[in-house]
Amino acid sequence: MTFDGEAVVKIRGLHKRFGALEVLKGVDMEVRQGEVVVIFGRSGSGKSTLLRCVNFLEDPTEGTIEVAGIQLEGGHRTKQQRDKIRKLRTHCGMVFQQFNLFPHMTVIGNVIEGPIRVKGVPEKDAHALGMELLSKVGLAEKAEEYPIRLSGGQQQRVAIARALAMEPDVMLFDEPTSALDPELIGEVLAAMRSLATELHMTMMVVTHEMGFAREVANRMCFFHEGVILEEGSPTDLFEHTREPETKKFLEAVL
Amino acid sequence: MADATTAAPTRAGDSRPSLLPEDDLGRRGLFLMLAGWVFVLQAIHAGLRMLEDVMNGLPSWPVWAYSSIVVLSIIAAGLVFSSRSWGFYGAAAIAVLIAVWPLPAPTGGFVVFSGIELVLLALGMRAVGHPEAIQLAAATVPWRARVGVVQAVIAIVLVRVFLALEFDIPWIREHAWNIISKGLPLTLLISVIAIALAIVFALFGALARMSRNPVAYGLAGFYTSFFRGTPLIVQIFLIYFGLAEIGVRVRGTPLEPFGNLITLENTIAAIIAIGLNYGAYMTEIFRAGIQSVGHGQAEAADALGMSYGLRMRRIVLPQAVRVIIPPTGNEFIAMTKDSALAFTIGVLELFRRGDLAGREDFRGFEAYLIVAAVYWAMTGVLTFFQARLERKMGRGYVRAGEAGTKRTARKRTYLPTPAAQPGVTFVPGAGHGSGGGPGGAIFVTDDEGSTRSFGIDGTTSEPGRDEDER
Repeated sequence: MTFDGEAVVKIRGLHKRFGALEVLKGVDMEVRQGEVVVIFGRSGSGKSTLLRCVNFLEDPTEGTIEVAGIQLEGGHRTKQQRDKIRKLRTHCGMVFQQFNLFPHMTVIGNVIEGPIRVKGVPEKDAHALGMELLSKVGLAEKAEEYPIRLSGGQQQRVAIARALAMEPDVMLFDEPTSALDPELIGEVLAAMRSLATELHMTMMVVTHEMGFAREVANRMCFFHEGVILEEGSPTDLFEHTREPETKKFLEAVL
Repeated sequence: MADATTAAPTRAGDSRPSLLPEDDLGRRGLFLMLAGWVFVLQAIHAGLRMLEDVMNGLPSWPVWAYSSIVVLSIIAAGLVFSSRSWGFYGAAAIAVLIAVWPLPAPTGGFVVFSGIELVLLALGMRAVGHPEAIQLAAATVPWRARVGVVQAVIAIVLVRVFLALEFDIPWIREHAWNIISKGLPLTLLISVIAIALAIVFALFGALARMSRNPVAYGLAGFYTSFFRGTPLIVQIFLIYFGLAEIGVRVRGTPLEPFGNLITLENTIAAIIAIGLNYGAYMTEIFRAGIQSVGHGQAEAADALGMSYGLRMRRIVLPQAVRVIIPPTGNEFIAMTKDSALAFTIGVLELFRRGDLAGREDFRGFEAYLIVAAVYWAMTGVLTFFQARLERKMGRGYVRAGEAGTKRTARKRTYLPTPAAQPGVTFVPGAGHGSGGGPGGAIFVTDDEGSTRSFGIDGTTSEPGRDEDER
């Protein structure tokens, strides 16, 4: 499958330094409409930082990020740029490793908070959309519960619905299953899979779930020491591995 | 309690007296326990009678006779609670001795005490030689009832001491309403406005303390440092007398309107000083509360594209409030009491009203007691509402089944259903349940190795109902 459409995410010459430590050493990447990109690599290789730079949860030290036509440079921030960052963020749905649901709101409250408060969607419409998304992740009957009463897998599915409710152009998944008990991983991966296959959602996924990657990813990027060392289709990566580092890593996790 | 009669088989070859013999050991122990408590009451009564007689100047027993009864009664109580056989007989002997005390002027009561003690001792006689009987009996009395008895005794003792010391109840009747109706509204007014001010100061102070703006940070640092670092009474004087003097100094200059502005009414000065002072303390509370909200929450809000204001208002503050409320409630309670300091600049609030009325008639003790009682009642009401608010804020933080755990655990009774082949152990001081009762628990293990425990504070736990499993 090829993706000829417009690139939703464009990353150019991205550097990120934390003090003396350079985590990203020049990353270029484009993600096209409907594409599922799996980013993997050792911990500390910079894969999460890359994802967090896309929606400016981390400020890039250098480089350009463009999401849905909104383009921003790294570096110092003016008021106008901060407003632009907020605008950009409404086009990115983010799913965190630790779910980060709002504990003081019900499940449906979590889902409709963004649309109502940030996008100004009327409450009735937001509620209808929220319930639709909750049924899509199989949790419509939990709408009035508080998050603490849900299992980790259920919480993460709510988090996915919350991100989707902003009707984003790209979904960013930051190790979405790493904090889950093994028996709960499946339900979250299934929800993500249906996002890709049914909604044709553009997705950037940082994960160690190689089974999911092989099945769902259109492209895989192996991160090593702050750069993309190797990328290609799952077949390329799994069966025709070029780099010895990639080979070593895949042998370790498979 | 009737379950206590249930026979539980003793293990073969076990020569120790069984914890639960055929006899109702628990009930017998209860009589012994009550006898011990009557001795304690007798000691208290003797002491109070001594005080009353001395104060009334009555010709009565000499002080040493009363003192002897106090000492003997306490010894007797100790003997009963020692659970030894000789202790039992010693206590009985003391009861008889006090009953036949060969002294003049039977000022009364002690024969009745001795009679009750002897009857209770006789009823409990079958438990003699079973050291665990009293502890077992204690387990049948609910914790609340035991605390209630102690509190009732404290109340009775206080009332009798006050009466003996010529406490002027008619004076109280005459003046209480006057003091309260004139002073309480002002005290409440000062407290409520000052806490509202303090909350506003604290909110801005906390946000400033977390800000990266050096002006905001520096100002807030100066504010908290000064108002936490100086005595409240100095601040009150500074704001009332100090600022008023500035007002005098700038008179006739172009700054005069400003000088008039800072020349404050005493009530207003008190409110501002107390509000500023408590706001400084609460700044730290608010800051800690806001920072206790996980970083992930702010990130999740950011990721939705929320602005700083929206993130604070919708995500961070509502969660911080839950953490902030208990210490803020404490501050409010403390502030209500500190509002009494306003009297120093002539505000006629509750304390000053009581003070004036008491001084006029040389009834300071009565007057200050009225004032104390009103403050006490006020803080009690505040504590009640604080607890309710905390419960309400707790929604979203309670898993299914956790709610009310303490309550359900409390109302259970202690006695075991007969186990197939029980091993029974009593462990004094063993922790049990989540209640704050004194330690001690009975553990019953059946042959499948599953253990139930029965706290002597009336709690139980059963296999499959362990709190951990919820």
